Amino acid sequence: MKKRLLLVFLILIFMPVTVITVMGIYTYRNSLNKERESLKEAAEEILIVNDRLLQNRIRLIEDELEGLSLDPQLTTDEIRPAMNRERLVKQAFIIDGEDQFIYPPIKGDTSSKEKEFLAEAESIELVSNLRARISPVEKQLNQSQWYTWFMGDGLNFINFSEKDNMIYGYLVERYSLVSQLINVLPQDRDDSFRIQLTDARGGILYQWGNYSHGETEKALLEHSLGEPLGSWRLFYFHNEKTGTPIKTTLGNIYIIPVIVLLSLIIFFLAYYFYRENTREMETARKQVTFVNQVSHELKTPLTNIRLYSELLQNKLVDPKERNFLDIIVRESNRLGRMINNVLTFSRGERGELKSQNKKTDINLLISEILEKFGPLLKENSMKIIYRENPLPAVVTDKDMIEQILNNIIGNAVKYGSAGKYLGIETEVKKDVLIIYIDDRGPGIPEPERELIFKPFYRIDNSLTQNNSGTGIGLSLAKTLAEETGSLLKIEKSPVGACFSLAIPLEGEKK
Amino acid sequence: MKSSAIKFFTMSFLLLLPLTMIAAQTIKLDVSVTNSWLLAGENQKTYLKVGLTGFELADNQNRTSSNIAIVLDKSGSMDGEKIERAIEAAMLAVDILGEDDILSVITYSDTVEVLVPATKVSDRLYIKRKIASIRSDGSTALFAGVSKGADELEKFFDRNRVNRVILLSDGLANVGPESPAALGELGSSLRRIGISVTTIGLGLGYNEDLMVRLAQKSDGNHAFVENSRDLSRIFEYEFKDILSVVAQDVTIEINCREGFHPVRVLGRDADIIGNKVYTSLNQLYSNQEKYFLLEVDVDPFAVRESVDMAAITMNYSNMVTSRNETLSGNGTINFTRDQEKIDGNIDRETMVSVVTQIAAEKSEEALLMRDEGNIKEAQAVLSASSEYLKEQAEILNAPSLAGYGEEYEEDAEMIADEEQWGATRKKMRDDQFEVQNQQSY
Repeated sequence: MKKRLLLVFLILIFMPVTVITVMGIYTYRNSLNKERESLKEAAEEILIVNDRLLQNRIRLIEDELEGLSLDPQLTTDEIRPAMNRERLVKQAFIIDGEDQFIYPPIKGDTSSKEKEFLAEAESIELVSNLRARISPVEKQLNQSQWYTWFMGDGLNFINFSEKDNMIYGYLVERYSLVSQLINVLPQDRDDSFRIQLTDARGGILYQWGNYSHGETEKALLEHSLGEPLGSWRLFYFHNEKTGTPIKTTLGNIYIIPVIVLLSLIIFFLAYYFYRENTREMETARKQVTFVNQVSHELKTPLTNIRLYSELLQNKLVDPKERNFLDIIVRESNRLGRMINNVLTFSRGERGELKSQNKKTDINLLISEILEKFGPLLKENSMKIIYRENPLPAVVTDKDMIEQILNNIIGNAVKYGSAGKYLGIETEVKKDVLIIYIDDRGPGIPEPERELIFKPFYRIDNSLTQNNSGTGIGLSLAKTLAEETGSLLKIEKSPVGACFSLAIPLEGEKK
Repeated sequence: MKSSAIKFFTMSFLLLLPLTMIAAQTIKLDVSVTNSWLLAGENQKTYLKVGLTGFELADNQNRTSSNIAIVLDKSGSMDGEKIERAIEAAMLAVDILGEDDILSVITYSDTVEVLVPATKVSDRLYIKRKIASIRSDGSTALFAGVSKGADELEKFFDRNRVNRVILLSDGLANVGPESPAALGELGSSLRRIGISVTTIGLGLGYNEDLMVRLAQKSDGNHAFVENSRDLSRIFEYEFKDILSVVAQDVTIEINCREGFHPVRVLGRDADIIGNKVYTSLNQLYSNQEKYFLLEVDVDPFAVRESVDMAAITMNYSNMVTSRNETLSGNGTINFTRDQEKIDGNIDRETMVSVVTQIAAEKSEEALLMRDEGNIKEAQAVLSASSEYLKEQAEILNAPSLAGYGEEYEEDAEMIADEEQWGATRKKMRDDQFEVQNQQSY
């Protein structure tokens, strides 16, 4: 009983707590994801802005190169010193319509640097590569184009344009370009992030933001730059420990306390009901314990009263006086039954009930019981209908069966006396002997038919209000039935209450 | 280098001398040949020296304004005395500069920070307070530091100012481009627009190849400062140099005449195209000589006097007059069959320069050998150089060469010391650089 209540109690707590927690975690995750998404969006925006900064710088560099006077009309000696002063130009070149280098002069004297360039140009087939890349659109717009290729420890950049079938181009000083590009990037020292610009080989060119991320940490976002920096990337690392710099969702902070609070409320509510319930049970139990002790004390005097009353019955002749004595005997019997009930119940509670089987004549047992109830039934003007059938002897605990029947008949008198009827029938079915006891009282409402077997349960209605009782009779009967291997149940009946007790013929099989 | 201190003191002494007479304020161009007489009828080799000396600045003259970016490494390794001394040195710079000068301060570790954006040095307290706030942590984003430094210079870029980045680093660049070649490229592109980078390597943790390359390609100075206590002194030298710039944007064209073929320029970058040699300097300092030594192959000539060997044209911007000026000179040579005449007419001074440069080349060679683990070979090269220097010191009656000879002997010994190798290598690179660039300190 107690265990089941505890289980219910635990379920009562854990079900809602689990549901709330799961929902809370889900909401939290969801909002985290949402936050991450919005963070990603914001980061993306930042990276795009920086990409644009770099692209703008590239446009400026294109303009700067376009402004240089790389003119085939000029002599090599005029071009050379001019180009040597340009920080972005590693090597300028002009290719004529026949795909020959005019500058640096393929025929005249060249510096070692120029020789190197011409050799490299030949090995990568620079001229045909550039020719193949010239698009009619850019040609029409008179715009320069970029050509990149890998050499040495990184990318090389060539900016070139075509005019009158001639190609004018510049091999750009790579680290001068890198320097100019990173100079447009911010030098933010915010702790919440770190942005890295990496080259084609993944080497860091520049970084800003003061968040020092772990070596294995994955970037929140990666962004490939626009051409000609297509192989470069921007990485955004987000510092989880600081708030998001862009948007702060407060929801997450409160979700955990809310879960805790709700769980606590549920816990206390459940605990309260548990306490209330168990307190009632405790009180009843304490009462029984008390009554049990008192009953023990009452047993001896009661036995004496009964003994002497019965002795006196034979000696009294005055019918009036005998009548009084009958009442004394009857009430002593009732008291005896009550005391017996309490004591048996207590033994049951302590787990001390033990059936002692012996051959029992049920017909005889019923007769004896009816005889004992005789005065009480008579007083309540209840008519007894008992059809005696020839019955086989059963092996069972006679005292227990007697106590069961006492309780059922006692109840029938107590609650069903208004029907003025008590019917007892017996029947042998397969291997059981069934005793039916029915009255024509108000009966037991359908929903409560199972509950009446629980201890201390009394149907709360006008009928029971005037009746005293311990509330253990039927519960005890049920326990005793189980102990003897019998089955006590309430039968469906059109009027009144009908109980059936099925006793196994072969005795209890254990 | 011991001699550098002596040089500095003589120089500052000279600067302090009250000048009663102001010479014509133009650059002095000296053209000389190691052998003014050569053997007739032979294929041979000789060296042409083009020397440029900055004129003296009178003390009442307004010195050139400067535009300086101090780029400080504040990585974790700078922690402690180093960063304190660096802060001290940077503050000293604030005091040395005048109100018309422009200063920016950039720090870098993991990331770069423009601590003091380019500003006139009028509110010294503000700049100093900013500098004092520097704390060390993190790694070394050297490339980005120099980049942003140059960017600050460009804000007030003026060809009439001395535009210079002063980089101080004690560690290996580990964020951003980090190869000597990459930094060299950045250096040479900065040089083209007139920005020099002076690199100061502090302690034993920095990459001397990278720092030397950056200084060399950008025509800045380089210093190896083993002990951070010397930082302030080095800063002082550097600023004395910067404030004594008399010419900038110097270009030199050497046009060799028929029969003379340029081979290479010792210790400096130059473009050799056919019979022409192009080279440049970002600046010339007052009273300092910078020179180019051109190795020339000579075709056989008949006995003849005053043969035109090369025509030299030099363009520069005079910082005092703010005008572009051109100088030209000629190298002439004589051919004879008289060996005595040849031997008796060796240009002592020019020869000393050649010997010094060749010895520096040998030192570079030895360093490469040592890098590959060939200690014995490297020692042999250095010892041979030392012998050569001492021998020439006697022949040319040049005690300075003997001094170098001693140093090379020391180096030969030191390079075997594994524990000291880090320091020795830095010292050798520093010495080589000083010789090749005729640095004043």
